[in-house]
Amino acid sequence: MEAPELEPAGNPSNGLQDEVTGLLRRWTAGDRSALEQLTPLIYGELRNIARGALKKESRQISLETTGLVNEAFLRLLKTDVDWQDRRHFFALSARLVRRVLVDLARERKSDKRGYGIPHLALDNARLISVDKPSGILVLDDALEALAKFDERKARVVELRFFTGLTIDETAEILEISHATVERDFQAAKAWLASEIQKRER
Amino acid sequence: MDPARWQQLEALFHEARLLDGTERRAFLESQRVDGADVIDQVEAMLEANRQASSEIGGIVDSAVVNALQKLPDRIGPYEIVSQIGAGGFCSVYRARLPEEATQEATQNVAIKVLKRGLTSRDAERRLQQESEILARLHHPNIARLLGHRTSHLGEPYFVLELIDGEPIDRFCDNHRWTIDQRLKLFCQVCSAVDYAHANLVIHRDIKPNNLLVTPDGTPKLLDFGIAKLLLPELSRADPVHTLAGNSWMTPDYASPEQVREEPLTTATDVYSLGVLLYRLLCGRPPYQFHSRSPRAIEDVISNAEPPAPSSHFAGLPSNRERHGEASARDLARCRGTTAPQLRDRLRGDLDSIVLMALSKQADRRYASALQLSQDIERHLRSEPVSARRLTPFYLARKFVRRHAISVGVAVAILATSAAAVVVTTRATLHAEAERSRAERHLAESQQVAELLVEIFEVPDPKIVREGRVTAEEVLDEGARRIATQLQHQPELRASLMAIMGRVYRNLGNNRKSRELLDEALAHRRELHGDADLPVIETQQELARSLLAQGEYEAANELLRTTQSSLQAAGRDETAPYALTLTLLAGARKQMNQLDEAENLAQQALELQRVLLDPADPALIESMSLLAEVLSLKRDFDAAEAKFRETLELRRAHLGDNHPDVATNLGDLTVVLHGQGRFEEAEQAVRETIRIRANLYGDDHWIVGTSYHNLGQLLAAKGQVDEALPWLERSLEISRAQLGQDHPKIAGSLVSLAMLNQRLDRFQEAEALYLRALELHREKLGEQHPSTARNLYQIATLHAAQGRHQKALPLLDRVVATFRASMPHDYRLSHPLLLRGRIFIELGNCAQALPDLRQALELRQNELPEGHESLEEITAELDLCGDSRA
Repeated sequence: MEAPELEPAGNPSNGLQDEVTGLLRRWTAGDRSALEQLTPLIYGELRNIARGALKKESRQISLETTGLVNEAFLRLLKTDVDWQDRRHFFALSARLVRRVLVDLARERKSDKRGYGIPHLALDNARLISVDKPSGILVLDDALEALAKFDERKARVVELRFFTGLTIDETAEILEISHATVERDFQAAKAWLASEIQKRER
Repeated sequence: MDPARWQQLEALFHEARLLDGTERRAFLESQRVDGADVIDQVEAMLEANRQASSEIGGIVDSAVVNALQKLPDRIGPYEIVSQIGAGGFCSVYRARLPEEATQEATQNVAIKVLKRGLTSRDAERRLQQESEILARLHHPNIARLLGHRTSHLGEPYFVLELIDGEPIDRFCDNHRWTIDQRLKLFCQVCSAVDYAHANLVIHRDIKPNNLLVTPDGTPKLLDFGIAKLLLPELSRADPVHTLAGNSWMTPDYASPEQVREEPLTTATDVYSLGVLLYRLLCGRPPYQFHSRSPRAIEDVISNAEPPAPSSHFAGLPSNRERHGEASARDLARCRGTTAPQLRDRLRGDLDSIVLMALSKQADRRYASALQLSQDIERHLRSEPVSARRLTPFYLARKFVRRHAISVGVAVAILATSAAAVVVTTRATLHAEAERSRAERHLAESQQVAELLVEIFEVPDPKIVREGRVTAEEVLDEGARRIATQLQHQPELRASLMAIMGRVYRNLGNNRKSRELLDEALAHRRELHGDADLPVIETQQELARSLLAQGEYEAANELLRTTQSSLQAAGRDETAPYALTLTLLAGARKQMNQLDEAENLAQQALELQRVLLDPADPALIESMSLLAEVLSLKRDFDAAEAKFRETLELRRAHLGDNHPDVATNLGDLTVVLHGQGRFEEAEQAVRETIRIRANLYGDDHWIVGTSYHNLGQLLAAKGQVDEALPWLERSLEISRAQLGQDHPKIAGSLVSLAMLNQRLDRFQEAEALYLRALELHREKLGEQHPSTARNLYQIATLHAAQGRHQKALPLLDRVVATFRASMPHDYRLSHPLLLRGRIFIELGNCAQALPDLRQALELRQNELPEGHESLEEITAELDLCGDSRA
């Protein structure tokens, strides 16, 4: 019988965790290329978790972005993060999810054309009236616009929608009061929604 | 936006947010701000705020779902080629059946399935309703439904005709179609919409993206995703609003009543057709929305008068062009003309037609899509169009001289068509039940076909590797799929289970047959009343399987239930009732209640002679059952006559090699044997074996029965050595196919034991008798004649070995049993005679006499005078000094 290959001692995923932590630090320090490297790692992990969840409950799954994303990060980091890192962690998490979703939506959009149905671009073959394939792209644009004149509100929306944090958690992360988060959130989402309706055509 | 302005906006928003309707308006109006658009924007934010969370949350959620969606490899039997659409809750795929499954290149289809991960009951119901709606629609300009099914993962989906086409507006522009061409194309669209309306379906979402034109120029209406069925009893709770968070209807094509969320009629589709025509003719939407807030949209659509299509080509470059929209020149060029020419072409009839379709009030529009297209056709033929009927100038110009007459005619026509509408609607409603039933059957047969394709694919690689798939394996797979995949179509599932239950019984697998029929019956009881045919038929099938399984009591009980249900429903003079009687007769026959059986079979036959064709299988079944009962009652002549009658009927209608002909011959064998006509009987049984072995193979239990009979016959003819292998073969088959404890096994064991006994192999015979007795007692009970006969045989064995004291108590029991159940039956003579002879042997003539006397009496009824057996008994009575002998 063949001898089984020996596993290297220690936690085999340490390397990946270190890499992720390093990339996080670099990204928060302003290194934009770190995000590029981080995205596929996070995305891969997201997919793994989602696949597991889909398999487990097949149809009944209700996707909670919060759970998925936080689980993805925690799996990657696996260590207790200190306060500073925790703030970074959630800020980053929100930013990353948004980024991942937007990139994927763009990719899908060009993908679809790539399937190459004669006589029509895939966009033409929409069969469903409620189709909003680019909804996330419109939202992303609107968020970008919001950030230009009110950065904090854009962060509030990100944290609330893309990592699913509560008002209190958001307040804690952004170091502002509960009431401020609430007001910010109300105004920001109302403006975003009106903006999306305006843009969505 | 500049931060100061944003702060102002935000402050106003927060203040106004806490106020309600009128207060809010007053507050906003009281604000002195530079530029009305700040107020507009605050209003837009307030409007949007109500649904902002679900709107944005919905976008993020569906982005996550989309991100995690992997293109499935397969759905049901279909291979997924690519994704061609995705909506709030559905994905649409281009798919095809794999070539290896169909042996030929297959057409691509579209498959619409709920998105994985976003399943809600509403969405499922929506999908179900869409397919129900599509199932009603068969029109060359409507994308066809090819089937509605559930995948192996339990996801509902449906299969549609795949349309490779362009949205109608883009198609016309890309091909530079002229106004005339566009109008003719549009009329085809109207015919599709009108057809849907005639079938009581409103589309509610007519727009270019739902109207694809194939390369050969055929328009196809698709996406009935928010369509509505007008029949109140068929339409479900309308889930469109509950999906509002995810859906945002394109406002351009929505009717005023639609944006106001009022009840919708077919007029809403006429309006949307008007918008579509507007766009096709002039290339612009009828309205411009300054804000996309629902209130602003509602306001514009309810109140703004759309400019006439021709006005877009009035000369000066419009605001729109300055805002980067296509120029009038470009639009005209796409229509193969120039702007001034286009303006002239649209002005007049076409402007009127479009604007009439776009009337704010539904009753001012065309009454139907058909009327809209008829007006267009009139325009194309240069006849006056009804849209301009009310314009005095137009009337004066077009038919001033016939004014009075035309009004009279118009009134008459209106009256006639109103009446016609009533009739049509009523006829439609009346025809509805019939049509939907027919369509359901069609859809079901499509599903059955697909299911069969799936079943025959037999995906288990192990079975495929062995290179051999038996019918039973295919069936097992089918049964499994039926149970798991058809949860959403209980009726279809029950039908298929019942069918398969029957097939299993025909294959001799009574246990499986019973399981499936049990389940089918349970499902059908939920769906139907007790006296409804599906329930009755399933009970009858189940009873047959119970009879085949030897569960005679259970069958009897079940059939009694069926009988009472039919009686309670007043359906006791019907063919199903007659069949129930026949089956009951069969159960009673097996329970040896021969008089009841005969009676029931007679009743059934009488009913069937009135109700059915003389060659009807059900009638023949009753007749042949009656014959069988008669033969059991040893009325061989009557039985023979009936069996010959049924044999003739069956041969005439079924041919010489039908299983029923074989059964008939087998029954005749028994009668001929009973009559002592062994040669004829042997001939009949060998013919039975020939037919059955051809049909079922030579190791099927039913052939085994014939082997048994042949063995018995040969034994009766004294060819004991030849008989033994047939009986052994029969027993072997019965054990393998029916199981160790089937009542038929006991019969075989007894026959085999008797043969062994005749060959003086007493030990073998005794062992066989005892095993048979065990079975008889367990399956049929102590009092059953077969059990008694078994005991009698054991007694004969003891007697043959001189063990009289062992034989006598057995014979006492046999005689008691026979006397209780059939005191006048010939067969009682056997134990009596044996007991009498033992008494003689023991020198006890006093006890022997009554037995011998009764035996003689019974046999005298049966046998011709001077028969050897009668002589013998008379001699024995003499020996005992019987005075009467």
